[in-house]
Amino acid sequence: MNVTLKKSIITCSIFGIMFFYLMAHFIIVGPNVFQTVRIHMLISKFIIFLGGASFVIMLILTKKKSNVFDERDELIQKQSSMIGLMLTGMFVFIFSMVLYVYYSDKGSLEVAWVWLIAYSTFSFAYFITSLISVYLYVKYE
Amino acid sequence: MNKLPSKLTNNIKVLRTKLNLTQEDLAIKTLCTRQTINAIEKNKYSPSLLLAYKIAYILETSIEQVFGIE
Repeated sequence: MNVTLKKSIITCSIFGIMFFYLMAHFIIVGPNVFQTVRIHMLISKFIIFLGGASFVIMLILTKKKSNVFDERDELIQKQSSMIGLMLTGMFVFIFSMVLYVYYSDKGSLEVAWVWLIAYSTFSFAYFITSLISVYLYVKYE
Repeated sequence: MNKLPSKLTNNIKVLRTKLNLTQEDLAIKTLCTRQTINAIEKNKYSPSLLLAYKIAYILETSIEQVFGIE
């Protein structure tokens, strides 16, 4: 297992946990409670900070290791970025359309949804791109 | 009209063994990873022309002797 694959697995785990946690927490407590009861936002921000810090630490630690980045790695990174970008675009579109359809009768939606769209998109993009990378590494192994 | 060849095959393993080279040795000499050499040997990844030439050069033979199509 090369360093690039290890990095993809770690990135996938960090942002996968972050993404599913944010979604689950938000949906369980609901947008109203999430934006009014401060502790929910604080816990979520702490998880985001923890995920971000782990990601930066991982980048620093793996930078020191000697790593050969060859044409296969380049191809995998290109393909995963392209598919990841497409899926992230689809995720935002579907998420926004679901909210639009659900709240169209009410005329407005809770502002906490915008917060969730922002952070979930960010974590989803990293999660899905690294997941595709891992899949392609296994496929080309 | 005959069907065009579409699959790249190779004799890397045979030629490598003749020279007592491991996948790791070949990877170091061609500046790529052992996993890439392994993927090429198993026909799961088609190398670029440059890498194919590098492999042939290290294996002390011509590119036609290393790679073929079927």
